[in-house]
This record gives sequence, C-alpha cells and structure tokens, in this order.
Amino acid sequence: MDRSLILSLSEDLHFSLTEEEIQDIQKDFAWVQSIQDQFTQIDVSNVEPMTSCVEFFEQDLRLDRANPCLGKEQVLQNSKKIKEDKILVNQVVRSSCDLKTR
Amino acid sequence: MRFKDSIDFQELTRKWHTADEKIHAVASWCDWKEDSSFYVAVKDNISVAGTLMQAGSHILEGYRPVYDATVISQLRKHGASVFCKSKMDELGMGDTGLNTGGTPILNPYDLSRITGGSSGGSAALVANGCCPLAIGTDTGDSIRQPASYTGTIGVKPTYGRISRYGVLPYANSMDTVGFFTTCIEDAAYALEILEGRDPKDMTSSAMLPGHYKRSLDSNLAGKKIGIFRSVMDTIKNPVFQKSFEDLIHHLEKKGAHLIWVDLDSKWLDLVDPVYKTIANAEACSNHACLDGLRYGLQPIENTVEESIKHARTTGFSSLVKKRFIYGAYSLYEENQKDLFEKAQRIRRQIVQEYRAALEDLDVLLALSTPDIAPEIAEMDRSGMQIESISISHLKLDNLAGTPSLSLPLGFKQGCPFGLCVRSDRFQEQKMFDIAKAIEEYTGFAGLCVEAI
Amino acid sequence: MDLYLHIGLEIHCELKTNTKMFSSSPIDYQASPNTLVQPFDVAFPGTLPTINQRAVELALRACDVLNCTIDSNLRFDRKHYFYPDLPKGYQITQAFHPLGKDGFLTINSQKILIERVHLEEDTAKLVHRDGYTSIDFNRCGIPLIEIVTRPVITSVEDACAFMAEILRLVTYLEISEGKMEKGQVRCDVNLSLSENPSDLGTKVEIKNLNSISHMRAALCYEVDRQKERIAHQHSIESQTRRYDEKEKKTVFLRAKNRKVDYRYMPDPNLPCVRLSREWIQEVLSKRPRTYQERFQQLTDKHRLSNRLAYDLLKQKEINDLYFEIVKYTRHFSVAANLLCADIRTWLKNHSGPILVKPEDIAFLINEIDLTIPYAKARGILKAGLEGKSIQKEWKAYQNLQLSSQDMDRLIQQTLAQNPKSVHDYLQGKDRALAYLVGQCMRLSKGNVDPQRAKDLLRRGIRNLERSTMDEEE
Repeated sequence: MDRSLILSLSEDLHFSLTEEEIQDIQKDFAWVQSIQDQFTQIDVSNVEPMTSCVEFFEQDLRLDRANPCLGKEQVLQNSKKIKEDKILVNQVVRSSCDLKTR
Repeated sequence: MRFKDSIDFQELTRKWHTADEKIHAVASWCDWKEDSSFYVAVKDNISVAGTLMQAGSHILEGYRPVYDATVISQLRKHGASVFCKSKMDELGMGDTGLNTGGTPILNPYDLSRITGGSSGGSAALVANGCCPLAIGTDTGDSIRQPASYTGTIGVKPTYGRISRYGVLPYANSMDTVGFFTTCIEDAAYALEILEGRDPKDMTSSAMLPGHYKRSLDSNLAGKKIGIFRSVMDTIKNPVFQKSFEDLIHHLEKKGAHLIWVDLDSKWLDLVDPVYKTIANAEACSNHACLDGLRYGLQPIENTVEESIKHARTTGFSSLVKKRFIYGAYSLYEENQKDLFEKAQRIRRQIVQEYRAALEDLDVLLALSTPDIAPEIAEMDRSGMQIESISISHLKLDNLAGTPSLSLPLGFKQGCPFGLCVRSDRFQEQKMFDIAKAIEEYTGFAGLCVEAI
Repeated sequence: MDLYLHIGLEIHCELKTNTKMFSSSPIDYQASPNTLVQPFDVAFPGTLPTINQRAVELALRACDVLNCTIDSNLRFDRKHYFYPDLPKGYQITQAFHPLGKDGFLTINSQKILIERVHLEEDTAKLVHRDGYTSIDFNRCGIPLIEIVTRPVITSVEDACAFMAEILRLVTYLEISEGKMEKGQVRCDVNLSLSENPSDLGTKVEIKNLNSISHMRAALCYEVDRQKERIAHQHSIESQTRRYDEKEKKTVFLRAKNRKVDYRYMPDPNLPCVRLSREWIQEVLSKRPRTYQERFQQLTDKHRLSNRLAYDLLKQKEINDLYFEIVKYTRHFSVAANLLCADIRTWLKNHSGPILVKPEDIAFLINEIDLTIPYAKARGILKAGLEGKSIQKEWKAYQNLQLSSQDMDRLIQQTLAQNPKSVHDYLQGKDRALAYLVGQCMRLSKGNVDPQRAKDLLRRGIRNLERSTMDEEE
C-alpha cells in the first residue's frame, strides 16, 4: 500500500500515525489485497448487496410528536469547555461559511 | 451461579472484589441496590446512566452516559441490579481480552490464558461465579468464543431480538446484544427478560416474545440435528474430536436424526474476508462520532482540527487505527464497488447458502473453537491473517443474523471448550431445547470455577 | 467571443415539522441553547435514528410539484466528514437513492431540469467569536430537503426567478416558512462560463446567499469577474467563493483542488422503508395547492377574471381564507371581492390573525340580496373583523326590518312627504323613484331593504294614482 495513500487515509480519518504504525499497515495490506483478489474471482453481479440483517422496515414510521429532551446540564455535563450554555471549541480554522452553507 | 441460587449479599460483594483482583474483569463499579432479585454485569459498551463507560478505549476517558440503554431498563424492570461494567476489547474490535485499555482480563480457569473477546469481562465474571447473568455483545463471535474459552453459556440471539439502543456500535449490520449464564434454563429466562420491540431501534424485531423457559423440552426423539462437517473436518485436536463424537453418538441413541452438512468451501473461505471488510468499514463509520469535542478525551489544541486529531491519535490504539484505515479504504469511491459493496453481495450469497442448510434442521452443531484458550505469552499479536473456518464459522451467524450459542462440552488441560448450537432466525426455542438435552448429557449446568 | 453561462443551484430547505428528522426532539427557533436535544442529536454513543413520517410527507409534496419520479423505497446513507457542527462525524442523507429525481420546473417558458430532491438532516449552529466557536445543538437534526438542479440555467435572471418560484412553492405547499433571510431556505450556486455551449467550463461555487437580491448581485459580479479573466486570457480556477454584502462582491473562500471523498455508505441502522403506492397517493391528494394550481382553479373553475385572481393571490393569507370560505358558498366573485377589498384593507391596518370563521363569512355572502343588501353585508363583515359575532349582527339587522304594517306606514309617509317626486315619476321620470327610495331609507334610518322599498313605493304610487283617478271620477 502506497505510503501516500495511507497518509491520505489517516488525514481523512483525522489521526496521525507513527512510523511503526505506517509500516505495520503496509505490511498487513497484503492481507487486504488478497481479499480483493479473492473477491474478483467471484461473480455475484446478479446478487443485491446485503446492507443489514434487517433489510426492510415493516412497521409504522415515527409520528411527528415531541418527546421530552435532555436538560441542558445533561447535554453539557460531559464537556470540558462550556460558555453561556453552549459547548466551546477552539476557533475553526476556516471562516464561518465553510463546507456547507450553515 | 444460577438465578435460583440464594444470595448472601455480603459474601457476594466480597466475591466480586476478590474475583476482580484475580481476573481483572471489572472496568468500573456501579451503584448496586442491596435487596435486588439478582445482580448483573454489563459489558462496558452498554450505557448505564451515571456510570463511566469506556468500552476499552482511551478516547472515552471520563465519559458518563446521561441515559440508560433499553436493556438496562428491562433488566431493572425484572428486579435486577447492575453491579459493574465489565472489561472488553477496545470498541468491540478484538477477540482476546488483552486490548482493554487497561490490564488484560485473565481466564478464571487458568490465569495464564486469555478469556477471548470482545465480551471477555462478562464471560469471566460468570465463569468465576460472580453473577448468574452478564450482558455482552456479539458482532463476529464476541460472546460465543469467550463462552467456549471460559466454560460458560454464551447466547447470541437473532439479530433484532434485543434492542441495540444505548449500545456502542461496532458494525451495526451485525451487532447483537447477548448474554452469559451457567445453565440453559437461565439462558432461556434471560432472553425472555431482554427481548422485545423497541420503537427507538428501527432494526428491533416485532416478533412476539417467547416463553422459552416454560417451553423447554429436551426430548431428542425425531429432532433433525445437523453436524457441520465442513467445520468439524478442520478440527484436528483428538480430545476435541472424541468429545464431539461421543456427543453425537449419544444424540443418535436418544432418537435424533443426524444430518451431515457441507457448505461449499468457495463460500466458507469467504466468511472471514467478507466479515472483516464489512466490519472494518462500518466500525470506522460508527466511530466518527468519537472526535474529542463533546465527551471523553477532550484535548485542547490551538484549533479544533488539531484537537480532533490529537484526541483520535492518542485515544485509539494502533490496532483500531489500522482497522479504520482498511475500513475507510474499502469505502473510498473508487474501491467501494470492488471491496465494500462486493463484500455485501457475497454476504447475501453466503447467507442464502447457510440458511438453506439451516431451514431443514432443528439445529446445526460444531465445536465453537478449535482449541482451548491460548496462553497470553504465546499470543501472536502481529498481523492480520485470514482465519480458518474452524474459527470463522461463528461469523456465519453474524452475517445471517441467526441465533447461536456456545455451551461447555469438555475439558482439556483443565480448560474448558464449548459446542456451538445454532438455528435459523427466530428459532431460539429449538436452539435452547437441544442445548438443554446436551447440557443434561454433559452435566455441566451451573458450571463455574470455585471462587477463592 | 460568445460566452455561454451555465448555472446550477443547490437549495436546502428546512421542513416545517414538529420534531426532528431522526429524533423526537421538538423544534423551536426561539428556544434557549441546547434545550431541545436528545441523546441522538449530540451523538452520544449508542443512540439510533428513527424516521419522522411527517418529514417524508412534506418531502413528497415537493417531489410532486417538481415533477420528480418518486422512489417508493425510502433509503438513507451516511456522508462522512469531520466538523464541530456534525456530531456523528457523518450526515444522514440520501446519496444513492434520492426520494425524487429527474424532475423539472418551468421558469420563463424554460424547463429547468431537476436532478434530485432528497431528505437529510441539518447540522448544529456554530457561532464564531473571539477565537472560539460555540456549538448549539438545537438545530442539529432538523429535517431538510435538498433540491439540486442540473447546470441548465443560462441567465442570472432565470436563476433568480427559479429561486423565487421555489420560495413561493415551499410556502404554498406549507412545507416551510420559506424565509431566506432567516436561513430556512439556503442556496449555493454553481456557475461557469464556456465558449462552447455543450461544454460546461470550470465550475465556481458561491455560498452564503441569503436573499434573492444578494443572489442577483453575487451572480452578476461573478459573471463579470470571470468574463474579465477570460478576456485577459487568465484561467478560471475551480474554487468556492462567498458573497460579501458590504463590498458587494464575491470573495475567494477556498480552492477546490482535491476532490473530497465522503465515503458514502448505506446506513445499516435505517432499514429500507417500502412506502405503499396508496399511502403516497393519499399524501399527495391531500397536499395544499400551489400558486399555479390555485390560479387555474380560480379562473377555470370559479370563473374569476384573471385580474381578480391575481389580486386574490397577492397574499397567501387572503387566498387561504378564500378557499376556506368557498367550501360553504358558491358566490365566488363576491367572496373574492370582499377579500380583496374589505378584508385586505382591514389586515393592512390591523395586526394579528383574522378572528372571523370562514363559515360565518360564507353565511353572510349567501344572504346578500336575500335578506341583506351588499352594503349592509360589508358593514356586518367589518363588525365581525372587529370581534363581534356575525350571526348576532345579522339577526339584529333582521329584527330591525319593519313589519308589513310599519312598512306601509313608512311608504305612505315617504310618498306624502315627497309629492313632487311622485308627480315626476308619474310623468315618466324614473329617477324620481330612486330619489323616493333614498328618502325612504333616510326615514327608516337605513333599516329597510331598498329593493323591497322600491317595489312597495312603486305599488304605493300606483295605488295613489288609482285613487286620485277614482276621486276625479
């Protein structure tokens, strides 16, 4: 597995890897490749992907009625940094209109 | 310990603490009530409001859920009290009981051996006689494999029987809440307590709850018992082979019809690769919420991007990070068709083949594991390999959502090993019935290590 | 050199439901921060989504009026990226199987093709200040529909007209308040220029457009900016820009060099929901009518003039009430006129909702020219708008109507007081009768039906004439 691909994946997953970890991943990638090879030899083009053990929902959808919410203390109690009842994080690097229109 | 055993509360609490010093199975203690009907250990990936939940991972350090999982409410409704959260392999991704984010869990039968995982803590506590019931989860074999290694009964019901609301996910399309007991009667009762439709979980089944305990019937005459030859042919251990052969002779003598079951190795060889591809992808998706911003490890860096990165770098172990990398790789747009989606197609094919075999049977039998629990010192922690069908056959029930349990069959070198009994979806009664008959044969009802 | 403009819009519209898309938290834009949050909304581990039926109904309405092919298998997928306003680390959306696809909307006689209409969940609200960002999860999980057009819009005006029509549609369908300024409807625009009409050119994305006038200004600026670059042989880089209201121009936000891979994956917690054809039909047949549909109904079925129909449609509140009223009466023009004149005027000068029930207004309309004159009806309506009971007012008016005896006396009185007019009428001057009716009204303080008075006066004059003739004989 390409080193740059591993770094790109870890970038997407938002964690960094030590040199040892990168080498371990490269080594074990042979395993992933062998799986890929096994898969290419099987023809299941006429079979639908199975996304779960429960594929269809047979009951009624949730009615649009409100249920009790958490108290704001419950929402915030696991957070280390709070201000004015909101969770606080350090400034997002990009400006306020980022990935999606908010 | 069994449900019907009377409890000396002082004695019991002493036992818990002694046990924990010996086997290190407890992640955190809960506030238990003194006059409860019975006490339950709950795997540390199931939310109990107010009690620490770490799921074996540093990234959840300090996290206390503010709500109860549905199974917890159901346990309490039946008079149970949760006395501890049991240790587990990080985020459910492990099968040894060693990667717990703390001290490894030790097998009560032999402290130099693993318990298996990822529900190792729950298995060990039941095996050690600390409680009649411990809750776990099974995504790949995480209840049945440690059950085999610890001589307990480990039950993975049909997918959707027990609500997953409040259970930290690993791979949602296969995660199943299950449990450990020391006898089949208790296992049957436990399923009655825990199962039921939950409107908060869209995958929970609306099947009418069963009366498994009341309806237990260990009569073997006329029962169609499948012998999983594809698996048994790979078991080379003579002790194991003999135990199994003796059992099936007994079953036959009692009037059961034995049917040899072979599945095409083309599909069986794909069970582990399909499982791992799907599990790694779903896990990496599920744990995207662990970003260190709202709970658990919350490092402060200059920017929020750096905080997220710091949390996820130090919070996850190398093994888990590696699996996320492979999972994300299989979900990349250019790879998805050939890896993730292909695995899902092959899954359906495997499940069709498997269920076609189960359809004609009451149960299918095979040894749960090919050997007893490995020694900790000999664990090969390096590298991922494709598992032999002797190990990976348990994953068939996760791919298919079929019910499956492991119960103790025999001993080798003083360590227990188990037999896997499985049925088609929603046929738990059949599974319990035959398992009861086998338990009568082995005489292992209530089996546990005598506490110190 | 001729340049061809290609515009595509991505519109997000918050749906007007009571609860969120995948959790049963209530929605209230005025609530204090982090008070409308359930464990799922803040992604505490172990929580699970449940689908809001009403959100699906509202989304179906949109798919219908946008002429989409509806997929009756409801499926959801995960779109992965990390951001503080996205607690799960993924957004639940419909990547592979949108609820509606391959639709269109006709604007200025042009069919604007719509690629997809799908359901998804909104993100939390971020406020950036003083080097920190604060997060309020009240908004997190509110249902959204996303409408994506193909890049077939060819002018800035068409883009603005399309947006205006979408705002009107979502308002009339009652799926959203439709206010861009409040952020309930948001629009991102993709714009490119090319020399060849079949070529799309390099796409530039513009975000942060919170009104149609901003949209117009931003797009015009961007077209000019790109044209100038092309004229000077500079390349157009693929990028995201935002509109700066103060400077009145688009400003570079970030480059689009690496294509982001969102690792789309079907959500295993949400099994496929098979919506039955019957249920979909029922939802669509019960949906509110759009502006165009109402106009058709007013002109074709109710036979109102185009002018009156447009007038009625100027305000949704007015025509909503009209359609309620005409459930109880078939006097369409009368109803329309009363609404466009009296009720509209009243609304302009008063705040607050209309307290009169549509059935009562219809009752009044039905009595016009039967038991009350038109003018009197208007008076009673005004009283009703001010809070009085229409039934009581009408009854009071009835009671004031004179008995036959009193009527005869009144007629006699009127004729006696106005001999000249009687004489004029007998000479053939019809206008004299109208004058007499007016005098009669005055004498009775407006409490007679003028038609009745007219008939009785005529009869009275004939009787007088006859008796005079008898006398003369």
